[in-house]
Amino acid sequence: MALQLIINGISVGAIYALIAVGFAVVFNIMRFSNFAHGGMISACAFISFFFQRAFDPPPPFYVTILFTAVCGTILALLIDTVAYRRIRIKNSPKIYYFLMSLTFAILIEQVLNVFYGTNMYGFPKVFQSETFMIGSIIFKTMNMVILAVSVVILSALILLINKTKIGLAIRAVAINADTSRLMGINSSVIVTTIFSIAGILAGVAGVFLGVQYGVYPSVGPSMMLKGFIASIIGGLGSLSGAIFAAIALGLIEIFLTFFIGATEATVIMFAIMLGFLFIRPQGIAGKFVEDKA
Amino acid sequence: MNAYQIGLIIQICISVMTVVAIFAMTGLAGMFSLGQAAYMAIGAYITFVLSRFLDIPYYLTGILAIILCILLSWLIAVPTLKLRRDYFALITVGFSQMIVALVLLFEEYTRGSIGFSKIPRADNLLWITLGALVLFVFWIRNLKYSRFGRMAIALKNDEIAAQSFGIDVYHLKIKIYILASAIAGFAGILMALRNRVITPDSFGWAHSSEMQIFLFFGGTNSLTGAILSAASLKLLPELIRDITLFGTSMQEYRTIIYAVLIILVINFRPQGILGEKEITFKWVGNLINRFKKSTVTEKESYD
Amino acid sequence: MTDAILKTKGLSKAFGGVCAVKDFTMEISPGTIRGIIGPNGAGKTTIFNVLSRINIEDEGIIEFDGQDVTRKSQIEVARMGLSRTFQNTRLFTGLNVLDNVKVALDHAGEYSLFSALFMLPSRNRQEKLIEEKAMACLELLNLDEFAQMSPSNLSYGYQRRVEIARGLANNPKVLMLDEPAAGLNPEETHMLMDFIEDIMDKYPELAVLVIEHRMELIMNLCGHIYVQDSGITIAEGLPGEIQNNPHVLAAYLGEED
Repeated sequence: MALQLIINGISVGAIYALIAVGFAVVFNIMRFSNFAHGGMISACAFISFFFQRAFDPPPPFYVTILFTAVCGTILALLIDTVAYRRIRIKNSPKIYYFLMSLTFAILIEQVLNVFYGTNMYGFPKVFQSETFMIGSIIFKTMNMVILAVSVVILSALILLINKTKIGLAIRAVAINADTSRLMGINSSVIVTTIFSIAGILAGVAGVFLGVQYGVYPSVGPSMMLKGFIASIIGGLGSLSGAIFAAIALGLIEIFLTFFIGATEATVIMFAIMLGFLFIRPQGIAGKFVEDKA
Repeated sequence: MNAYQIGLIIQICISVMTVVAIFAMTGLAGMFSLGQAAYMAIGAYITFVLSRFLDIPYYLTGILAIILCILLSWLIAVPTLKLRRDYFALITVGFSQMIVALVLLFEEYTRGSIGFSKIPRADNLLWITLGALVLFVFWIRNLKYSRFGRMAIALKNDEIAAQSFGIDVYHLKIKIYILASAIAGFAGILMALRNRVITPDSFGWAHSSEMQIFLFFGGTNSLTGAILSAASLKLLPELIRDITLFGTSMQEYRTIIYAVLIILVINFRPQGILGEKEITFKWVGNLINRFKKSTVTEKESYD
Repeated sequence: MTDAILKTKGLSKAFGGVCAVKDFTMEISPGTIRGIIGPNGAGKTTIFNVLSRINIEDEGIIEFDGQDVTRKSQIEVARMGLSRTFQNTRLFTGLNVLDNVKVALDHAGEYSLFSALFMLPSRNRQEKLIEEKAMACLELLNLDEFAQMSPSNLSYGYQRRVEIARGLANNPKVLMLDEPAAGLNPEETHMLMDFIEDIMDKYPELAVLVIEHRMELIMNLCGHIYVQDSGITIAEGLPGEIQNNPHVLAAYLGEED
């Protein structure tokens, strides 16, 4: 029983991790909160749903995931161009980033609302066998797939950041954007890379959220907050911290929901998150917290 | 004037007063918060739930609710206003969601998502609302033209430079945040009285976002901009009620319209419609004089 | 020397392994003007940042107006009478020139938020005083014609002067100027020099500490100069002595414009 909960918790946490990292990547490098990330996730959930349903027989799941990831990237780059690029180029006050990301978050959700109403679409059955057993424990196929894909993507990302040339450039920009530019790092390449990463993560997260929780316009934004807060608890300067915190959050949520109840669990989760922000705002592993001089 | 029109005016006034409070917080002091709706929720729920269950008149529990708003905003402000703006914004979102979650948790008392209804009628609600609006605009206008307003604008601009003039940035932000939250709490009570029912989904961060959009539309540096913007954008859905698109009244698209409008403004006139300017009586007077002069000149040229 | 109003001994500050200032010792008395010069990266602005408590030193003592200020915050030290300008003009853009000067007086404004909200007599009285003091400051420095203008509409030279006036509004004991002539052409630099001399006349108790690149400004105005290079004081003394110091010539004057 406990093992069952743990596995559920980790797979919930895995989705939170995808969201958290998608948010953290923009936050660390571009230094603003991309509220529109939630909207991207919702849009991708819908995209994956319609893609899956568009073909008969339905395409293999990994094809859907890939397709949605690509769409997520396109969407992310689109949003950057329309919403953030002007602000970046004109060097406008940071507060406009807040407003634009917020506006796009609302816009995407409302557009989805208008076209698809508040119906919940259920994802069609994806796998031949929904569960499998190892020994006496029942595993849900979907949970395993989510776990596996998340591990692959996040590991690939960490490798990218730490072992490649472009990853080095990204880390340099995270530390000091001006100096990096002076040293010849092409900022628009970095920006494109960052938003592509965020887009891929949003796409994959969208698919999984759609599958696990149903496809509806506010699926992204409602999960987004938990993902964001996970990345803060993990420490905004650190991607692995965000992943770790997200998984912890997933576990806590599953256990709380099981033992206390869903509504109470939500309140306690928020209380924990707020408490954490009060007590240790730099997170477990984070650095940049106080406003710099 | 019929009841519908009165209800509309009250609704607009409530919107304007909340945006005016946000002007003080975001426009003057640069704090980007998405939690104002949470204080409206606290104001509304505490006032009427306590009133019903403890059988106390709501104007007494209302005072309690406002005090609670002040206390809570102080508790939130003290640890978070030391942190960077992004943290503060996220915390206000989290706080907002937590209040909604709490309302759902205490379903037994708040009736949860069904809504807390049968809120008593208030006689003269229109006059109370108008009076409150005038008072709050009076306060915020005075705030802007006082030393606190100047210090706030300075710190919004450049916190380090502000501190180098002895400005206690941290404590000033706290004071303004508490003031804005208290006004929001009061606005929440009025909203409950107008609607006669309170539901948790009118208090999420999406609602706070709408008000921020109103503020930026008019211009974060202009109080009159904030007032006119909130009033006209709130009125807009009424004017387009009879126009339909895809079979639904344009009204349903109002959020999308707001979003598109603000995207246009940020891209083409980022300082907002009014920018830095305030519409004053002097300004209106000048406009009238200039108009008079041009008509007089025209007449002269025909002689 | 007569009682120094500001002095520091053994001041050191490193940022993550890079030493910006090492073992800096300096003092300045009321009514005098001293300069700090040195090539870029010599740590001059860091000295100002540490003195004004924007950064905290790793080592050293700082005494301002007879008190040890190492435990004081930026706000406290500013209220004690330490004023400064910045390398890039940091006038507040949401306020006009007069309001910029008023803001320097506002922390001591005395009336409460409550008074402000309700326009009570105490607020009106205090506001009038603040306005008078601010206008007086601008008039004293011949900048009052710009009072209602927005800082962005002024020429860079006048912006610099307004920033200095703002620093003087609250009658500070020490004024630190960080490269006041940066970005000014020779004519504007001369006007700035006259401006600073005028200030020294009109504020006889004021001690001024200047960071500068422009040699004429430093040589003609300062009574004592500290020469910094890579965080260390390589020379100090009267302008005449500095000019002839071989170390200084080698490290700095050699690369002068």
